This record gives sequence, structure tokens and C-alpha cells, in this order.
Amino acid sequence: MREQSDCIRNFETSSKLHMCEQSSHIRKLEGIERFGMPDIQDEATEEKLKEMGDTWSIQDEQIESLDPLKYSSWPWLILKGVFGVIILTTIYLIYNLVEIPWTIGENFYGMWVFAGIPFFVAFVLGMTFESGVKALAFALTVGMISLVLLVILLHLPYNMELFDSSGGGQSTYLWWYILLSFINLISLVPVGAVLASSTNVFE
Amino acid sequence: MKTRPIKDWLFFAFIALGIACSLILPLTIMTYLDYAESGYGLEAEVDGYTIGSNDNVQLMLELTNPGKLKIQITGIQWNLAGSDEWFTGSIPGEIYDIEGGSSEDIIFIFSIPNQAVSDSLLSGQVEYELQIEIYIPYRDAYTTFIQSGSAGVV
Repeated sequence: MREQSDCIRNFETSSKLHMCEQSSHIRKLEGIERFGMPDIQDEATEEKLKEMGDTWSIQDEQIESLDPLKYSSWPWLILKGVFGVIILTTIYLIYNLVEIPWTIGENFYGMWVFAGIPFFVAFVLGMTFESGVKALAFALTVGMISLVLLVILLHLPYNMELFDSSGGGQSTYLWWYILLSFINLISLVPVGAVLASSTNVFE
Repeated sequence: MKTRPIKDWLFFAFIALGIACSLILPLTIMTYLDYAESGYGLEAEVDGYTIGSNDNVQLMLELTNPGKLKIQITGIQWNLAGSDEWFTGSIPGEIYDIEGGSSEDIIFIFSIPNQAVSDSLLSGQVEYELQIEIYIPYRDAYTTFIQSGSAGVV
């Protein structure tokens, strides 16, 4: 460090500059010897580099085989999709049905369940994929199926004519809760899925 | 940082939640449809009745609405087991609101012109059947709540 600063200080002095260049060259050589820095022209080093390359490619293969083996195979993917639909439908349904005893609608703790579970579900669904686009597509498809199921289930009493209704399922209150579920779906589910896939670091 | 254990735990939590929800979902649908058919979880209990002048029977009902939906009572009918006669009760204010999660005592007045019915009421414990017509504004639903039980003269 001190030599270097001397060199810079005496930069304009030609003779000393030459000396500086020489000394830095020597230092470089010393460095190679001391730390074993690779010399490309050396055959032994080339072999060493090739070995290193092989090691890396083996490691790459291992890394790739780790995650998809367990989580991205078709049976797991189908199971995740089915469970995702079931969980999201259940959460949206018990949020909408404020008359049942285990409802989470109009309830302080229920509010956090309503916000947290869809995010968590989307997060686990998103872990399946390395690509954020695929994760987003999968999670949103699962979410949309849940929403359609929700609307069908909420209109079941009207369609089965379990009670008389003047509006035929056009209740504003009912649709307001469905809208809340839809807002939950388009805001929390994509965030969970994309966050999981973008932070999907193997091991 | 190794993320594999965290991911494993999240995955198992997801599977556990999925299994739990597969049980909750059918139970919820069954309960909901049952509620829709029979009056949204409304519970009615006869606290007692008194027979006043002019053969008026005052029926004291404790109505409980366990859900969070407001329930409106639009009509009430009462009959005694063994007779096919239905007596229509008068409702205070014609429509009676029961707010969500509340339990209220309401007195309904029935006028019973039949002497035999009045006598059987006075004789002691009687079987009865109640039909309460309700309207749920938030679901736009008209339905009938039916309950049978027995009660004695107060």
C-alpha cells in the first residue's frame, strides 16, 4: 500500500515509474505463487479447472433434482390444486355465511383468517414453480375456481327453492360479501404466489 | 439460510389445513342449507303462557338468533296437538326485528274462541306446535320456522 502510494506520488518521474511497474509485476508473480492463482497456460491448472466445472455441473443437477422431485410432480400438483380449491372455498364460504356459528365474517380474528389463509395457500402453491408467471397462473386459476364454487354454493338455497325469495338471489348484501371475497382473491393470492416463486431458493 | 425445512413445514401445514377444510366444507354446506330451510338458526322457547279475559292467550316466547343476520318476524301461528286449529297471533308492531346474536323475550297474543282448547290449556301440560314466518332482509328470503314442544300454565 505504501509502495503503491509512493508510485502514484512519483508517477511523473519516468525512472521511478519504471521501477514501480517492475515491482508491481513482481508482486503479481508472488501473489500467484502464494495463493495458487490459476495460470491458464499451465496444463495442470487446466485439468483442475475442468474438474471444477464438472463439480459445478454435478451440483447443478443435484439442485435441480431436489425441489421438483417432491413438489412439482403431477400427483403433488393435482393434490395441491384440489386442496387449494377446498381451502379457499371454505374460507370464503364461512366468511360469507355470517349466520353459522363458526363464521369468520364480521369478526376481528376472522378478519385475519380471511386475509392470512388465502395468502398462505397462494404462497404454498407458488413454491411449486420457479417461474413467477406459472405460479401466478396456477394460483389464480385455483382462486377463480373457488370463487365460482362460492357463488354456486351461496345460490344453492335459491336454486333448490328452500325458501321464497322475491329477488331470486340478487341480494345486495350477499353480492357485497362475494365482492369482498373477489377483492381478497385478486389482491392476496397473486402476491402470495409471486412472492413464493420469486424467493424460491433451493436449500 | 436453509429454506428447505421451512418449506417442508409450510407444505405439511397446507396439507393439514386442506384435510381440515375437507371436513369443514361439507359440514358448513349442510348446516347452511338446513338453516336456509328452517329459519337461519332461530331458536324459540316458550317461557310460559297466561289465559286472560275474552279467551286471550298471551304466549311468552324467548327468541334467540345465534347468527349475525337480522331476522324479521312477519307472522306467528300456534296450535295445540290433537286439534287441527291454528291460531294466528298478533305481533307487536306487525314486524318484529331480532338483531343478530341477540336473545329477546316477546309476548304474542292469541285469541282462542274455542272453549275446549281453553279448557285443555287450563288443565295443565299441553303439547303445542309453533309456526313462525320470518323474513331475512340480507338474504331476501322468506321462510317458516317450525317448532314443537310442551308447556304448562304459568
